[in-house]
Amino acid sequence: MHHYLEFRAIHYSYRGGAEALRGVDLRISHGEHVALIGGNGAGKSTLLLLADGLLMPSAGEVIVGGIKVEQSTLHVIRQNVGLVFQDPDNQLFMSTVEEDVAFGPRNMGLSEEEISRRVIEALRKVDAEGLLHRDSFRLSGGEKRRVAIATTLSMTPSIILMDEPSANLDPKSRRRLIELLRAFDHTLLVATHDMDLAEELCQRVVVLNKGQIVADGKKEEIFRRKELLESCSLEQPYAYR
Amino acid sequence: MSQNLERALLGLDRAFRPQAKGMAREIDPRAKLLVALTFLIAMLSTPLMDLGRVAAWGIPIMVAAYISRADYFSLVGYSLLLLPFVALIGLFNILYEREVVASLFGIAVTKGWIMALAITLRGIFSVQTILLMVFATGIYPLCGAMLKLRIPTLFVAQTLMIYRFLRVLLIELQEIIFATQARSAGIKRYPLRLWARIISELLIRTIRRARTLDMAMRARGWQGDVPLARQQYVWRWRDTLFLFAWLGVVAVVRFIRL
Repeated sequence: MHHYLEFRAIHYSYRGGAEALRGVDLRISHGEHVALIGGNGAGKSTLLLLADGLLMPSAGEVIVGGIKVEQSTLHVIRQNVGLVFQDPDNQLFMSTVEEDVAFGPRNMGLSEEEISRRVIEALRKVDAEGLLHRDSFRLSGGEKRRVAIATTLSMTPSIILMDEPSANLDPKSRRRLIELLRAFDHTLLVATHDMDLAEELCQRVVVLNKGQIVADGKKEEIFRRKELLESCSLEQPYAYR
Repeated sequence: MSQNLERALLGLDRAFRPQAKGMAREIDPRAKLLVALTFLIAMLSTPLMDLGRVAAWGIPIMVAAYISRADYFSLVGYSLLLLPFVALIGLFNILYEREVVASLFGIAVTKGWIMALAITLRGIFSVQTILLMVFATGIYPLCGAMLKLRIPTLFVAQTLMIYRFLRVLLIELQEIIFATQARSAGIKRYPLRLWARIISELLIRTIRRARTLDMAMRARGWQGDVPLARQQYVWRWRDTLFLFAWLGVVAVVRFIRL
């Protein structure tokens, strides 16, 4: 599968609510690290949920590696797209880290040996091997975040979507996370308010405001546009001020 | 309250992880499941008026707890949590079965009292048996064994969901209690109206949380079935021996008057 992600004329409305996305067109190529920035309620999380088929668009289509996201393709899509939720507590629901990281591979119907191998490998990648037998809900914020990433890595996805990965992290954990994500060779789409994280991690920045893409380009171009960022309830990264 | 919840969470995790050591852990989960099911059927079919025999079912449970190196007193503790519900069922027997069948230190013992006590014991022993089985096997191997024994997938999936939901429920309740305590200004006993609010908030939160968890599970390939590895179960001689030894124990307690 070619690891690209494409949104074509996407509209999405929540039941009884306003339109969350209004005609979003976006293509993310293989291996790109893209930051999706925007204020609260801009539609960032909705776009990520659509990319993983957890929500279906009201209009338009989402294409992952040439495959349209629809009910019949969800099994393939979810093996190739890993979604890391904003709140790791929502991602970690089993009693131990080991069980949590093994959940995805189990759903893929792998053998017990392969599951164990993948669990160790995923935890090693996020530098969390020592947490294997720990209770998921007794980890620190940074540990939870790394384990949450491991739960998707164990499924060996080609595309990773992350929703506010640096939320609630202390500076040291945040730094560790940035180093970890920089080393990824996956196609990466990061929805964030954290301008400095976006600046360090991504080459391309997409600005979403009120359900529409208002800017899309190289990070240097976008982050220099102070007025644009402020009009979207954002601010420039520290390096651009 | 928050300490009790913490304990309950820990207990739930301990209970649902395979903690038994040695032989009890190595036995094929199908053998353990078959023994537990036979044990439950035999115990629950013991006539209520045969109180001595009903009480005798507690002995094999103690022996099994010892072999599995389970903390028997914790098992008793958890099973007692259900005591009010079980006792409530028995209460109706006390009200309707008033025939005096014995006298104890000059006090008339009615048929209803004996039946209520037997129902309570059976309820407690059932919970202990299930907890012990999970303790000795672990939730996943247990569910795997259920599927191998052709227990419907829907039932097995529900078992796993109940396990996850219990954890979510306890974690959410803990958070609400923390938030309440933080603003309670030292008050230790909350009025009934506040408890009603806490429970309604808990329900709303768990529904919301369940929805997000469902998304998180689907994002990792869950399709409503049981996420179990393709495990190869190998039935050995020791499993046969284990099965027949325990079936023998069950037969003795159920049918032979000691």
